[in-house]
Amino acid sequence: MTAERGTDEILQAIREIASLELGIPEEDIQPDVDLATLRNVDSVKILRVVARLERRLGVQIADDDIFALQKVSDLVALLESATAVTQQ
Amino acid sequence: MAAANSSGRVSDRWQHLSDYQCFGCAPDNPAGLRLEMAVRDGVLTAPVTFADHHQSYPGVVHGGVVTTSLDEAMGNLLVIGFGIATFTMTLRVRFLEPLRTGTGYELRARLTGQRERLYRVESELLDAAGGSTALADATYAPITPVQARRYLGLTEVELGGLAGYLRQPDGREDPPA
Repeated sequence: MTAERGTDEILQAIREIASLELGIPEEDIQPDVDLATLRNVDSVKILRVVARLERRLGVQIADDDIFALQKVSDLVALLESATAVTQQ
Repeated sequence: MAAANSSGRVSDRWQHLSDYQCFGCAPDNPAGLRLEMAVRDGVLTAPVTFADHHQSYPGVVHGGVVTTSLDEAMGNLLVIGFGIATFTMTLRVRFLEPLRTGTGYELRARLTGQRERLYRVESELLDAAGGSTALADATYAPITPVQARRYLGLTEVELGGLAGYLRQPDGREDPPA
C-alpha cells in the first residue's frame, strides 16, 4: 500500500468539504467540473475549501496554485502532488 | 507594474464608509495605530510608535499588533499605489527582535510580484538606526463588487464610493449574488 493519498480518497475529501462549504450535494462535484461553475462559489470559498483540505491532508498549497485552479481534477492533481511530497 | 506616488491621506479614501474605524489607518480610532502612509517611487512608508495599550509583556509590542502594522502597510500599498482594495490571503512574519512601545519605527512596504490575480508584497519595520526588526511577506487578492457586498456588508452608497478600488470580475468567478 502506497503512503501517498489516492485519487479516490482526495476526491472524496474535496467532495465532503466543498459540499459543506458551498451548501451543494457532493454529487455536483465531479472531476471534470469547472470550479467557477459550482453553485455559491467564489474565490473566498475556494480558499476556505483548500484551507480545510490542507488541514485534513497535512499539506500546504501555494496561493498562486490555488488561483490557477480551473477544474476539480486540477485540485485533485494538486493535492496528490502535495501529499506525495509530504510523504517523501 | 509601477505604483503611483500618493497624495492625501489614505483615510480620505474611506470617509464615505459609515463607522470607519480601521485599526490601522483611521485617525479617529483611539485604540488604533493611526498610521499616516505615503507612497513614493513604489515604496510605502509610514512612521509608527506603538502605544502602551499595544503591548504584550510590559513595554514590548504585542506580536499580533506588529503583524497588523505590517499587514496594514502592505494592503495600503495596493490601495494607495495601485488603487486596488484587497483581502489578505496569506501572511508570514519573521520576528527578528522584540519591539518596544513608545519607540519610533518606520514601516516600509513594496510590491514583489503579481501572478494569477494575486499580488505579492513584502514589508518591514525599521528601527531608528535603519535596522530591520520584523519582516513580512504576504499575498493579497483583489475584492470584487460581489464579494464586497457578500463579505463586507457594504451598502450600495458605500459600494459606489469604493467602485474604483474594486476589481471587476474577469468572467471566471463571482456569479451574481
